[in-house]
Amino acid sequence: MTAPPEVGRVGGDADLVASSLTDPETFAQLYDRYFDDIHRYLAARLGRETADDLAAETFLIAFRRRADFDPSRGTAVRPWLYGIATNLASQHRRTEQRRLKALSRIGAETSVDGHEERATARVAAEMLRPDLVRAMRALSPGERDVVFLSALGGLGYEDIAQALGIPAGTVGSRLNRAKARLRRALGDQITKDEEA
Amino acid sequence: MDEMKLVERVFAEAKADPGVAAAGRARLLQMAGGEESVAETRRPARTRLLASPRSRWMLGAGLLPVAAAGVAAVTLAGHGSAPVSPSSDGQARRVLLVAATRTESAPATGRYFRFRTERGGLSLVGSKDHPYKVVGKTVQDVWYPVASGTTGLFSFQQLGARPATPADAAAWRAAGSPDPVRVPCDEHVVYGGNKESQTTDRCARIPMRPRPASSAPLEPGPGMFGQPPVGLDLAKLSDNPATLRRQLLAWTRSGGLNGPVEGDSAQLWTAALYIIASPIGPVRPTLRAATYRVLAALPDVRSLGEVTDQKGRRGQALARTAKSSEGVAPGTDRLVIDPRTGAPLESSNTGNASQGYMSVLDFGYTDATPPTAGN
Repeated sequence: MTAPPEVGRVGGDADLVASSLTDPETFAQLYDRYFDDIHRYLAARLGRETADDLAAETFLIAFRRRADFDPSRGTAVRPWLYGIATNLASQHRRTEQRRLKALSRIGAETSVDGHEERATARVAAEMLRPDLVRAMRALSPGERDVVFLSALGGLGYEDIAQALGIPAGTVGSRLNRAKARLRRALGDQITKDEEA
Repeated sequence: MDEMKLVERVFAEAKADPGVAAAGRARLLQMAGGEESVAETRRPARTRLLASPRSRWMLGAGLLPVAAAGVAAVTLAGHGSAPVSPSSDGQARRVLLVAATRTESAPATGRYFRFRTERGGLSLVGSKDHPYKVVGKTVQDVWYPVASGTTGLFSFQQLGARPATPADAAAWRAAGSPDPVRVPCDEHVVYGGNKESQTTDRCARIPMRPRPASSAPLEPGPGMFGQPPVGLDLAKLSDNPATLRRQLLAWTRSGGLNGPVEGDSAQLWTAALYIIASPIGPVRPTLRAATYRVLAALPDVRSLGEVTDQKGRRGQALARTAKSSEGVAPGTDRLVIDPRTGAPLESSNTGNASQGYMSVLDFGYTDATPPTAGN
C-alpha cells in the first residue's frame, strides 16, 4: 500500500551504511537499491561493457570506504555513490572519447532506417544525435560530469555538488553553461521536435 | 524535448544483464564475508523493501500489509452536495484550498506533537497449499518532543485480525484456529542484514486476538521510523506554496523517493502525502496548509466527493491515479480530509492486493502526557 508512504519505501540509506559497519552484509542492500542506477550512468558514459565492471567496482570501493561516510555532514548515499562512479569514469577518459566518436558515427547510419523504435521522439533523437554527440565531446570534462549526473542520474544541484565535492552554485553555473552550449549546437531543432 | 532528455535518450543503454548484477553482488558479499551461494539463489530486486534497520520497526509495528477486504469498496456516499465526477478538478481545488485555510488555525504550540494512526489491510496467511485471508489492524502512536525536557515516544499495538470472508473463516477453523496465523514464507530468502529482523520480516505472524501495546523511545535520525525520510527537513520547508513546491521537487529529484519518479505531479503528490498523512515529525499547521495549496495546483488531482472512511467519519476524498511511466506504485491513491478542519483522515491505495489504508486517529500539538510503556 502506497498512499500512506511506506516506511520501507524511502530513505534508510545512511542507516544501512551505518549498520554495515557491524554487519557488513547489510551493504548488499544498497547494492540492490542502486546497482541499476549506477550501471545506467556508467553505461551512458563508457558503454555497457565497461559499466559492467565499473558499476560493481563502485560498490566495492564504497564498501571499503563506508567508515568514512558521514551522514552528519549532510551527505546522502546516492550522490556519494555517483561521486565514486564519476571518479572511476574520469580514469577512463579514453574509453569515453572512443564511445563519443562511435556514437556520432552510429547516429548518422541509423538515423532513418535502423531497426530502432519508430516513435517520433526516438527518431527525433536519432536525427539530432550527431550534433548532440559532437557538442558533448566539445564540453569540458567537468561540464560532462554535471550533464551526465543530471541527465542520467537524475541528480539535483545539491546532490551533484555532493557527488563532485564542489559548491552547488558551481554546479548550477556549469550546468547552465553546458546546456547553453548543447542548445546552440543543436540550433533550433530541439524546439521543433517536441515530444510526440 | 529538452537537452537533458535528449542526452538521456541518445546515451542511455540497456540494463545490465542479471548475471552481471549477480556477479558483482557476489563479489561484494565475498568481500563482506558473506556466502556466495546466497547471492546465487536470490534476485536482487526482491530485497529492496527489506532494506534498512527500520525493518524491525516495520514489523514491530505490524506493517504487515493489513487491509480489509471491504476497504477497496469504500462507499462513496454521495451526499448530494458533492457531485462524484471523475474529473471535477475545480472541486478538488476548492476542497484543498478550504482545507488549507481551516488547517492554518489549528493550534501550533504544545509540549508534544502527536500523530496516531491505524493501519489496516488484508494478508494472505496459512500454508502455501491452504492459504486464506485475514484482515488485521495495528495502531501506532508517535509523540514528538517539542518542549525542552520532553522525550519522544513511539508505541504500537496489534489490534488483532479476523478472517476476511466466511470461506476464510472456515479455512482458519480447518487449520485448527491458529493464533497467531503465519504468513507463508521461505526461510531461504533471508540473507544479509540483521538476521533477527529479516527472519521475522519474511515470516510474519499476525495475531488474531489483540495484543498489549508496547512502546519505546522515539529514535532520532532521518529515515528511522517516525522520522522524516532522508533529505526532507521539516524545519526548513517553507510555508509559502511556491517555495515549498520548489523544495519538494528538489528533494524528489535528488532521489528522495528511493527510485526515480517521473513527472512533477507524481513527485509532489507523493511528497505531500508524507507531510500531510504520515508520521514524519511535527508538521506546523502553516506547513500543512502550504502543502494542501501545492496539491491544489496539481492538474491531475480529482475530487471523489464526500465519502465515509474506515472509521465511519465523513470527509472529502481526493484521488490521483498513477501512470505506469511514473515509477510510483500503480493504482489510485486516495486522501480523505475533513473539510471543516482541514485534518487528514485517511490515505489508501488501490494498487495492490492488500488494499491497505492508514487512518489518522489523532494528530497535532498537545500538552497531554504520552502513555507510558506497556499501556
